[in-house]
Amino acid sequence: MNLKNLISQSISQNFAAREKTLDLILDGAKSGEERARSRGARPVLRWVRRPVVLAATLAVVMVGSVITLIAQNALKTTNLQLTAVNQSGSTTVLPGDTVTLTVSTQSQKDFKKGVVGLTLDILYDDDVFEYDNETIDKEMSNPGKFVAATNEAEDGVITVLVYADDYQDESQPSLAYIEGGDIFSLTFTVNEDAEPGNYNFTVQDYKLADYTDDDSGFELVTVTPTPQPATVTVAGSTVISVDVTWGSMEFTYNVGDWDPDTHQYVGGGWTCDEDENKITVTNNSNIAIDVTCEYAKAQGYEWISGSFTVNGQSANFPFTLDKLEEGGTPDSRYVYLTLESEKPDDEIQGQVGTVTVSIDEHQPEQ
Amino acid sequence: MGNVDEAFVRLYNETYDGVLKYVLLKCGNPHDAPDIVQKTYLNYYERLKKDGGIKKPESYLFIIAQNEIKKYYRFKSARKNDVPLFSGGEENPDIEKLEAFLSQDCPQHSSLDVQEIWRYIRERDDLTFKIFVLYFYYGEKLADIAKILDIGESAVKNRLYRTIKQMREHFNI
Repeated sequence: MNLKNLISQSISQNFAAREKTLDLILDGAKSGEERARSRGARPVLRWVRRPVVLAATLAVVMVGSVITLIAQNALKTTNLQLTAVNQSGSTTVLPGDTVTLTVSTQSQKDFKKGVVGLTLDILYDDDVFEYDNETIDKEMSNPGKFVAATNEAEDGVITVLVYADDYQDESQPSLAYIEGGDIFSLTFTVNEDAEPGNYNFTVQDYKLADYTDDDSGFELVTVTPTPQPATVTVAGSTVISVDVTWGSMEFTYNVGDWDPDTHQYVGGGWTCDEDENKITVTNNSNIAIDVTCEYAKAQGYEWISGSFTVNGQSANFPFTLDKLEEGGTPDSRYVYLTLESEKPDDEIQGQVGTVTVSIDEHQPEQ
Repeated sequence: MGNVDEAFVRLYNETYDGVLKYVLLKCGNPHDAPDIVQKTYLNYYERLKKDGGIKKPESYLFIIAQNEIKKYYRFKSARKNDVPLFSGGEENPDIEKLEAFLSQDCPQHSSLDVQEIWRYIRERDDLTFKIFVLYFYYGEKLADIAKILDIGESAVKNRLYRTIKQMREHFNI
């Protein structure tokens, strides 16, 4: 036999095991009939780790649960709440930001225990957000007792499956449940080329389950109202552009006039030519900025002090310059440096201090 | 065997390869394909037993398969199939030689176990596995496999060639 035939046989016998599959189907169907004939024994419902197997289980459970719900007129309800914020907790995000979408269960009513599982699709704009599937938060209300799985089967759709895993509780198998609060969170990165605008994260095809009242299985939970989308606003990239212009910052100490009565100079001090002590700060940024000026005395000249005035008033730092609106005039402020000291004993020449202008993104007051 | 069973087995035999191929290509993890195929036929069989005759049975079968694949995606925990593709100029496999080798009767092959080969193939990545199934089970041509899988023909050749080469080293043949 050649290798080609061997490979072909190996696939045929295992992957495409036609006869075996047929037998399984026919036998399986017959077993189903036998089960149907011997009703009475309660089927044991058990959530298993493999999502594909769970899918079948959940489907059966939920179909059964619809009937149960109608029969018992059950009123179990909860609402799903979506929130989406960036790393600073803001719904206004920038390219490169991380956006965390959190889905929580609120206002559970008449639950036997809590949410033991759910499946839903999250719809998002994949031109704007990139899903990071490594950061799903499995640490929910019962850490380690839930299995969370996500799937990106289609662009812009994340299918989420969260279900309680079996665990031993006082030697009895039990299931975890979520009584309220966060169920899971997903993280996304805002694409660098994302267009500014408002974008929604929407839930669809959602199903939640809770224990039935007699603990015999699970049943559907009605979600009311319909979950509202979480909206984030993508702002344009931040551009900080600030012009700082300086006068020469050259000062001369004017000794003043000699007062023959007091035998002292009066009216002396540090002076400069007009506007040579002027610092102009102009904000061309697309965000507001905070400006701070500091004077540092040079070594050996600690006796000379520097201070600032803004628009003729004593300066309070930081001051804020508004962002430049499209087509608008940039916000600008004049800061003047004033030096003060006693009359120098000797002639001095050189640098007596340093002025630093600091620019920060404006932080709104809390 | 009743009429329903006979009808089912006939349809099963007529459509099995097509359904398996459809599911194989549609689902992310090819190893889940047999399970989905089995569920598809089971659903069909149960419907047949319950309701009797089904008009356009093949179409109905593929609709069931579609639904099963949807369910699979809904619940499956899987990442996108991010199998790296070979660059076009990475290798220049001589496929004619390869095919000649594959078709050659070789006494060394007698020591090879079909299950060992299966295990080896099964452990390859998803894309390679799909290529193997299409090439060896369905007998598709390389160009057709490239079209079906939406990848370059050279990628198919390289992957096939490289895996066979690795197999030869692995099994010392």
